[in-house]
Amino acid sequence: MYNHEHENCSCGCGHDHDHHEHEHVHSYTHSHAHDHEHCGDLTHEHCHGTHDHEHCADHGHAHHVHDEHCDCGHDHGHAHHEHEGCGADCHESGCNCSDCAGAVKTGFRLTRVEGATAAAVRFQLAGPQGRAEVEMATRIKALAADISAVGGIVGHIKAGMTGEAEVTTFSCTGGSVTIGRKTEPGVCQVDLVAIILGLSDEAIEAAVRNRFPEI
Amino acid sequence: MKIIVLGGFLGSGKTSVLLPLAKYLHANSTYEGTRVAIVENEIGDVSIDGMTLRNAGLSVQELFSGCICCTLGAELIGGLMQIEREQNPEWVIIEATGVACPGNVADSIRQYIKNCTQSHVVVVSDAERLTRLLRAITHIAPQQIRDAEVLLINKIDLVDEATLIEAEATLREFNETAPIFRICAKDGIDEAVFAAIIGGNENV
Repeated sequence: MYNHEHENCSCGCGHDHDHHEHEHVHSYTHSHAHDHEHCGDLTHEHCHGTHDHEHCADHGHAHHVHDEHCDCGHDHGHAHHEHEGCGADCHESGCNCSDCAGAVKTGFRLTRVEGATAAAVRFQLAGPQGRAEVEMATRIKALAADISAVGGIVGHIKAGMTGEAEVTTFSCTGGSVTIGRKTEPGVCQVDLVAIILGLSDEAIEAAVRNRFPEI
Repeated sequence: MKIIVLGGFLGSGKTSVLLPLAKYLHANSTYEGTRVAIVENEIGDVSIDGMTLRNAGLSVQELFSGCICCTLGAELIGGLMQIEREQNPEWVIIEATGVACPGNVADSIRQYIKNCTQSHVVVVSDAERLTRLLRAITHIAPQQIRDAEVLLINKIDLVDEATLIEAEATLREFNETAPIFRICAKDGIDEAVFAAIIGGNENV
């Protein structure tokens, strides 16, 4: 779980904190609907205006507000943003906060869109990868059964797993090049999304945490 | 720039259709530049499908945490304009979320992307779950079917002929005109299906 206050931000995250204090909102890369009426730029990539940022996010996206009175036909409910972890790539390059010092390996987040709730989970599983694959399949099947057993509808549960990897780094300060190699044997990084309908967020979270206690 | 909006309910197999479709478009193109670009709209903030598509060598732009037919509508248009500027691809395939109405997406594109010369809406249905989902989710799934110009019934290997006939009849209740193709995406898709997807429908 990762949180910090940005009231007098020295984390180097590069966000404008003058007008608000906010909970640490760095999660996986995400977009939020917030009011950019003074931005004058569809992409908001270089937004420097003063905005009410309940949840601060990177500005690589265009946003507009669909409140409860929006007549587009979709249920805008509310999106839950449990920010227990942070994707490193949600910060601008050069950010020196501790999130960017290394990829965050665990996290849990709920998002709601049009009556469906997406539980996004990130965690690590002990390898070797072959065994981890079997374990993942078993747990996902069990999660689906748990959801159905309490009256929920499984929209889709999908996951990606990255296994043992060798990473090569290169470092040069003008002369020779130093090559480093790093291997993380036996650790599999998992990203999973469970999109569920017909259940409360609390029930979904409980079911997911039950099957994936690593988060 | 020609655009395909790929819709269909959660877990119907959109990504499994997208990959061979992208390969088909690439193989049948003589365009010198980027032949196919992908826009992925995901519920939540993690792109599982994006990983798969990138591993297949495709250029992917992701839109998270919202639905491109409404909350991320401006973001979609902005993203397409950026893709056009930076890559100028021949084809863009937009994979909508499983709860999006692809017709709304196509309407926005036709309205705001002036260089879009063709647009097509394809909707994938899960043969095994179609009837059950239509009963449980009475708004989204029917609208998706209505929006389709081509309908694909996927996962036909999981059901019997009677179920398939029922699924086709169900689709017809909501869409009287779109051609319907039976597919098993994991085993490969006949190129005739892809030809039907891109056939005709020049923008007026």
